Amino acid sequence: MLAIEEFKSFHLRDIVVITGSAVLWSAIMYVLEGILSLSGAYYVALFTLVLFLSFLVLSLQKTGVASLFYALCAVLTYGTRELGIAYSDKFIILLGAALVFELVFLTLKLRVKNIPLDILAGAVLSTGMLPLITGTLISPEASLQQIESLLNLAIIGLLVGVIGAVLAFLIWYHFKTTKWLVKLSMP
Amino acid sequence: MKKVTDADRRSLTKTEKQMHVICGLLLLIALGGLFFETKELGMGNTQGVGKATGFLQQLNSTASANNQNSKHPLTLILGSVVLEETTINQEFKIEIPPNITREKALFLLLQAEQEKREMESYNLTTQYISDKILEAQRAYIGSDEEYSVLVGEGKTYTGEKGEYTGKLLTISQDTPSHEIEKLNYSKVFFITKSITLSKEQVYRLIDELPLLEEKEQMLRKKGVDTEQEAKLIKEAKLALTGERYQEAEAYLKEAGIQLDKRRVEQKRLKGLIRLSKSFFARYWWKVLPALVVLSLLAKPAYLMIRKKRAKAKLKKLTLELSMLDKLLKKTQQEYFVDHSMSQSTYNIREKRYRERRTKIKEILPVLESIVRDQKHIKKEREKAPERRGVLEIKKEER
Repeated sequence: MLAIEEFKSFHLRDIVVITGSAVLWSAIMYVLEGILSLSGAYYVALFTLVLFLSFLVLSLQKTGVASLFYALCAVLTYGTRELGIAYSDKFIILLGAALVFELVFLTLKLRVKNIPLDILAGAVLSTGMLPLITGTLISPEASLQQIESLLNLAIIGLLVGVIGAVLAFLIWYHFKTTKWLVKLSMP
Repeated sequence: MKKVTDADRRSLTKTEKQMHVICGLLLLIALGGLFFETKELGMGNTQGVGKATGFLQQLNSTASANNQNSKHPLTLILGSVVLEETTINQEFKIEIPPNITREKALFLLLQAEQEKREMESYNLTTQYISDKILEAQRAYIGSDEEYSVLVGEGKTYTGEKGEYTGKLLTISQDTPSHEIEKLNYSKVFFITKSITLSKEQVYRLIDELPLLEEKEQMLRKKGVDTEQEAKLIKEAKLALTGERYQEAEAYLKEAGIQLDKRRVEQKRLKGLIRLSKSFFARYWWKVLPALVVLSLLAKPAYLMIRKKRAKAKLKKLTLELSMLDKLLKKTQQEYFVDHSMSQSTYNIREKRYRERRTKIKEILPVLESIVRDQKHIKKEREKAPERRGVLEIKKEER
């Protein structure tokens, strides 16, 4: 059952916030790509991506936030390989991950002890699915032959996703009554 | 608008606390999992993750499945079998000494011929070795300018060396012009040395093969699935007969590693089964009396605990009852004598106290019966006059 109440129109302030977050994430990636190793950059990219995504969705509570944010991130970091992918592949793969998030967000409406499990599960699953989507889209044969590496990446994605999403939720929870966040969550 | 009471605030804090606990647990589990996962990938650093992320890079840059197979260290797929732990070496690593004399090169050639004969005596195919020897001989003979040297040697040497020089002269005459090689004693050294190493490798493989076969059969008999290992041994045999010694060695090494893994796993499983089974089998005479004693003690222990708990509760409720009486008296005094309390307050309090009193009075007899010994109750029942029906009593009265 889809939660149609989550289909809300975007205000200018929402788009500004999403674009600002994407620009900030891209800037972090450009800086860190030169400093960190391949694996380090991958970890940080996944973690920050899920942190920003969860925070944005928690603040705005709208369908389409994840897709817009991921699309903007893919465009702004078009040539960099912090996630092991670049160019048009990155755009398609990030949109695929965003789709996973949106599906979970719309179908799973669950809240346990104030924790919005729909957002957390969506963020975690989309991060975990990122390597699998990459492998499937780029080379299914090679992915099948090296399924061990791919599954390891997926597990790392899931775990990093849990950490990022939970931290984002805790940060949002402690600041949700501030003026800025209250304004953002207003319809 | 509904006012937020103190109780509401407390429950909110409690929910928040629970929320924080859940979040903390989730974070701990994820961090632990991440630590375990990175450790499982083979390091305390991030090499393994690098290997895994490197896979994505490889995917993106090449997008070619075949290239991935031959280059990735994790799995090497050859034909129908997979080498997970070993890689196939292409050549031997041989250090070539700087000054190799012509005499030394001839000696090495003779030695290589001897080794070839030895291998033939074991019914091994030596096609590859023969080709290699011919290559070495051509490097020894050299071009047409060195032909006179060879003729001179043919006249000087006697015995085995003389005979071999004659053979080399024939080879020199039969070699087509495009196959003539430059004089190169280093090449002679490299080829003859690799023949020696190949021979040693073949002997080693011949020794290892039956041992591994035996090991595989033994494990198969014990019910272990060794299909993959049997396949590897078969491939090793094929590689050996096809003179692909490096490949054969890799297959055997892989089979050995996998068989060892299976053996350890089987041993562990067997040990676990034995441990769980033999506990009762070995200690049944201790376990049975212990179970009997436990079952005999269970009921009295339960009754004792129940009695103790009922005693404590009885004491608490009796105290509460007396306190309620006092409170009720105090409330009545405040309302009826002192007039310091409104009627509504009095009514509410009085109702609350009475309700609680009734409830306690309902519970108390149950607790008292638990506290009093069951034997006492039985005796009391026995002492009490037997109950009789109304008709029976009337009949007696008449």
